[in-house]
Amino acid sequence: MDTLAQTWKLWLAENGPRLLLFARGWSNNRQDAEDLVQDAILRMWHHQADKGGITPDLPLVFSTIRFCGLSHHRSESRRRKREESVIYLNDFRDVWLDPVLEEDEEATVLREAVQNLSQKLREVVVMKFWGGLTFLQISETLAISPNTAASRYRYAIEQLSHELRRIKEDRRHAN
Amino acid sequence: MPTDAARVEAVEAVLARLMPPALSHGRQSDIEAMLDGLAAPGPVVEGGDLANTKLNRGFMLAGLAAAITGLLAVVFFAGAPTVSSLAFVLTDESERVESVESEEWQEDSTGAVGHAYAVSVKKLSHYKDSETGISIQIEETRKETVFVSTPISHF
Repeated sequence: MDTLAQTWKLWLAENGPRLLLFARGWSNNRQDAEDLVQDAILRMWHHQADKGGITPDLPLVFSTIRFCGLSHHRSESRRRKREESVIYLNDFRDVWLDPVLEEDEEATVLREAVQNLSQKLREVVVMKFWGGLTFLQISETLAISPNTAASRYRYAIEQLSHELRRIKEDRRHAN
Repeated sequence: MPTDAARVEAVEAVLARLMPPALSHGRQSDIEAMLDGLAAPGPVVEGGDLANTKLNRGFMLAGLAAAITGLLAVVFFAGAPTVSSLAFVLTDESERVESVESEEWQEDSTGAVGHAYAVSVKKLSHYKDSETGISIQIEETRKETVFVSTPISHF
């Protein structure tokens, strides 16, 4: 039993950040996102019990986080709306992604651009890029066709590319 | 003029310089403690020798029939299967979002404007009778409208 818990802990250490990132798309702040991750892991534990308790596949976990997020919105939307303004004011450095390099303007701007993508596009980018899922796995998670998943990814990259071009043009003009 | 592939590569190169942050230390500890608790051995339920006599097998089959009838009644009339006290024990339960469709911006009864989603959810419940080993699976599909009154644009 200890080994099983240990296996899940290792799995959590490896996948926790990408699950948290995906959960951010379904919550208003980091704490809520962490709640979603924990809720999903609990559900996954019970779900995997019949399979010998093996750790779950990421697409299934993403799907479960999405479901938990929807449920959370359904039951708590009004309360969260009140809290959001408080959290937003006091938690201004709360970000989804951290640049690896310091003073990386491009990365910082794209971070904002990723957060501002529409939810449909953002979740595909998060699952593809940071989740490492294939378009087929993404399509299964979101109940869409693989072509739609690929189209959303391309469209999101186009939008991000536009932002990147804008940064470069701004720099050129500044020089 | 850069090609599409070059543009994608340029964007992905910048995205690669962004990493999702880890769970907070406190939350990581909470989840690990939860996993330890879940992995701890639970109470053992002894089944006795109920299936050793024909009479008891008869009771068992009657119980099985009652369980299925009760289960179906609960599923169809109450929407919340709770048949653990009967022959069948709930062994696994999961819910999965089958589809999410945007219903665009709408106004709720309080006048708040938000984004409505039509959500189709499939619930799977597995029940097993430990005596006979018979398993049954109940599928429930329900449709809900989720109203997200807060635009997800502030982080």
